[in-house]
Amino acid sequence: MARIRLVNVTKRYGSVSAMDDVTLDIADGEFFAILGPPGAGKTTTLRTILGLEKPDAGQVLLDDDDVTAMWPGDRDIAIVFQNLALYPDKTVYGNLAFPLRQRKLPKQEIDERVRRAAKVLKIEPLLDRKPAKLSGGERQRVAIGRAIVRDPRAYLFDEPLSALDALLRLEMRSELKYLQRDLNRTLVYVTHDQVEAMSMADRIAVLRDGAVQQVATPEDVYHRPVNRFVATTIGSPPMNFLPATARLENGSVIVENPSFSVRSLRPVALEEGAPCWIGVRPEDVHVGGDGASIDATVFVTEPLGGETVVDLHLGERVVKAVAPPTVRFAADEAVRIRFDPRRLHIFDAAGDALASAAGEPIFELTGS
Amino acid sequence: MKKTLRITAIAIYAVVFGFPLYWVTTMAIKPKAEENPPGITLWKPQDPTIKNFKDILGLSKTSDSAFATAKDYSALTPLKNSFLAAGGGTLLALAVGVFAAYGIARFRAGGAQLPFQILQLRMFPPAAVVIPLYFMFIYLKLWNTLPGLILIYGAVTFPFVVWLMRSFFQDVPREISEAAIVDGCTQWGAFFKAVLPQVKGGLAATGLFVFILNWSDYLIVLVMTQDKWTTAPLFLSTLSGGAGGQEYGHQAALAVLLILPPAILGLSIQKYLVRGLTFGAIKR
Amino acid sequence: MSSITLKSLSKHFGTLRAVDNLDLDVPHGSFTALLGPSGCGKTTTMNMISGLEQPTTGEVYFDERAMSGVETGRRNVGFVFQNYAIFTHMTVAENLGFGLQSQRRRERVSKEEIDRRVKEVAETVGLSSALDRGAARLSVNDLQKVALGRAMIMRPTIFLLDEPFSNLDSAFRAYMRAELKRIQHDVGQTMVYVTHDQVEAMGMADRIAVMDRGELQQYGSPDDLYERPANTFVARFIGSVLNNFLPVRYADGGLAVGEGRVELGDRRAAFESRATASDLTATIRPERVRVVDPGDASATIRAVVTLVEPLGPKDVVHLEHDGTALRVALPPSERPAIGAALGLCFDPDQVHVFDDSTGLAVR
Repeated sequence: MARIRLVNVTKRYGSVSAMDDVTLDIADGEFFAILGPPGAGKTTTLRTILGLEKPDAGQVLLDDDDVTAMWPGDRDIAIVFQNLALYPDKTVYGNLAFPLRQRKLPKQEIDERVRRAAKVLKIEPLLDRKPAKLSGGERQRVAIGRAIVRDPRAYLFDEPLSALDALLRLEMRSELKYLQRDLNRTLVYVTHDQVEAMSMADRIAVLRDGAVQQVATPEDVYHRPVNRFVATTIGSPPMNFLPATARLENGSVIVENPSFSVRSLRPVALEEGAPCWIGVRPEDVHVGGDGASIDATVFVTEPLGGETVVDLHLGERVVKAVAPPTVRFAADEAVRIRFDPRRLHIFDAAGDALASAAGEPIFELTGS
Repeated sequence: MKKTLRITAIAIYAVVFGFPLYWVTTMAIKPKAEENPPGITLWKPQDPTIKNFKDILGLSKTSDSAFATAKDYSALTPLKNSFLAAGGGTLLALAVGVFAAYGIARFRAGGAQLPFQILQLRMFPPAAVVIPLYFMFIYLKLWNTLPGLILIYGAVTFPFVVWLMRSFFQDVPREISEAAIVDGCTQWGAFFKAVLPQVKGGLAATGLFVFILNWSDYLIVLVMTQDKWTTAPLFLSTLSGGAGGQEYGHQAALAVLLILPPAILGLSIQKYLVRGLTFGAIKR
Repeated sequence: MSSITLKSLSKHFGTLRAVDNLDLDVPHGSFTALLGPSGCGKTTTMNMISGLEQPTTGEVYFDERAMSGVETGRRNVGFVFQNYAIFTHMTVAENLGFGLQSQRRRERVSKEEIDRRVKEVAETVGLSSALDRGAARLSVNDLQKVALGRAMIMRPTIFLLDEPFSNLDSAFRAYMRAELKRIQHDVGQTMVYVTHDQVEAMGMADRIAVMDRGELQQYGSPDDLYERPANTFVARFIGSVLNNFLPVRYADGGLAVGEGRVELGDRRAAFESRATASDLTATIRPERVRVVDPGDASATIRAVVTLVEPLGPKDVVHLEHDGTALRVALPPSERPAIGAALGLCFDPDQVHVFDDSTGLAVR
């Protein structure tokens, strides 16, 4: 069993905080993603869980044991490094067998375990080859295999797919998800790719400059991001933010943008005249159709095959919208757009979320 | 035009560097009479003989010179001493230097300054320190002993080992040793089982480099040894001023023999050498 | 501004055919992408266009003019790479103007002209407010704009970009893609863009040349590639969700798919005239599969849910049918449970069929 907890962990390098008072509670058997841009502290967090980095403050707990001072090799956790770190002088078999030989397991058992892992990862024909003679995807599997043979209590994966081509990444994503399910162990998965985090994880921790922004299920980070950073990190194309000012009228709050206004049917913590932001995802911006009343001009269309992304000029801002794949617009074409009121968000000037509709009818759109 | 210049330049280099080798091999097989003949010196030996080699290796019963016996030419003991001293010194330098280099590369042992401090040890021309060392060694009863010689050779080449191996260790990604640790090794285990195999080439190149330095040393043996533990390079110089006058033939023969061990060593580790020489050069 | 024509272009490294007999026509003023996995030859092709590599056989033409023998410096190409060589000790304005400064005497460009063009380019790439800032203090995203501007100011005939955005965070990448597309549209420069990311190619390019192992797979508009893939490689490579591949058989004017059937209608002619009866593979995009109840008669096949990937606006549902892995797209509100059976309807217009022995589309 492996419940992994970080409690108020801080790690500094000189004056920079790689981890800033990080607290995470990862449940046993959970597929837990740590998501953030490069430099956010994701790898440091992983290495701290493993023990390769010692925290300057805070504790690391495995189940109920404080392992902050425990030697990495004794924690029974396996890691797949971002650069894989395969042993170049050993064959695939040697790489897979190494951790078992270290534990002085009997030869028979080592052989069984190695072959079983090789079978699961479909690398049996490669057992006699050395890493230099493998493709990127194959090396990835060997690195995972080296972790699997140990049957540890938990796995840590550091951006395992980032070095692979886009197509290979797509193919391996579902494979990894199936794998974790079959292994039935806690997996902490670090990535900068939000699609990976969203599609695979039970819960996602969004990190920025060493600080945890939000820990929630994919649905929650998508529908109820706590701030603009999380809202931008999750979802592609990224959320649109339109500047607005708050106005109080008859007890309800209206946020006004030059092109449109949104009335909130629930209380929102904004004062008269306070600047704020209206957030709306491109998939919730509809071009044309019933009720489209806001004027905009087309800036660029990006036909992606499955959908078309339309970049529009709304006043001075660029707003992205997602349209059906068959739609085509000419540059500078004038169109009318509509926002889905049940998918709007309001953020204060500092970027913190004040209200997210998340499907509920708590907002009303009014023309400007 | 450029091409002819280039070829000319290469030809000149070839002659300048190749000629001494040519001289020494031809001289080694010339009999005494041809060593310094009156009139024109002919480079090709008219009457090749292996007598010089036999003398050098102590295999002759008689000598060509009226002033020295066959035994005086035997370089067997100096050659043996060279092997022991250079070999021992190299092993000592490697043994200490490799671990020091790893500590510096991986754990930043000694801070940022240590690598330079170690290199500074070598900045001193040996000539400057050899006299004080002489007195120290006499006091320590290490003068003219094999352990003393090995100690000096090891100490004097240790900075090179550290400097070279540090760069090779830096090229091994940190995660390799970490993977080994996670797989159950101690730091030592990780070093021997995961990291060291990665620097085989660098180790070979460094070892050869250091061996050549020690093998060809003249100054240190000049001061630190006498008779019993004299090594081959020093013995070579005695051949020029001895009772028999300039013994070109014997000097040449010994020179040829002196070239052999580093050359053979280099050839045998050639596979590792080429990779090692350039491998550490690129810092990422 | 110039068109680029590649005729029978090949680059061999010993026995390795990095680029094999490539024929390509890049119209002037167009945005063309070279798309493919690593090792497909796209970068080598670009290097031959720029002159950094010499073709083994074949020829590169800029507007009818053969480029062999013309060295890179004289081809007037602008480069934008990942690792932009920005001078950190200079300001943004100095960086942008660097190329012109170096060529001042040769090009006879006055200082006023340089300033004017620097301002113009800064405006185009969106750096007008950062002109006096030191380059060392720029964010990665702004550095990218400087790299772009520096290439643009030289008014090259052709722009070559090699995955310039792969270092940027994904939000900014989305922004830069639209910007670059717009800039290219406004300025009208011929652009050749190398990438392995099909989203980038599809979003920005007018025409995309898909390459694999040195060979051209298909050259067409994003629409062509998505709706009319020429072979299984293109069908697999294009698309943000993995395409569905099903083994099928031709039978009496239709395709036998699992226990179901897809009627071919007029398309049957292509199948009947096929000489050999080799195996066929059908593809249908996950977004184009209609999902119904398993008991619904309109369902072509039934499949069992094995995995659900919530992407936010939609779910990608993985299913299994007779040993074949399939995917469909569903709104999150209709998310099925693992193990549930679903009916999948294949609209004949959405089904593409490929010959297994050649990989080519059967039309």
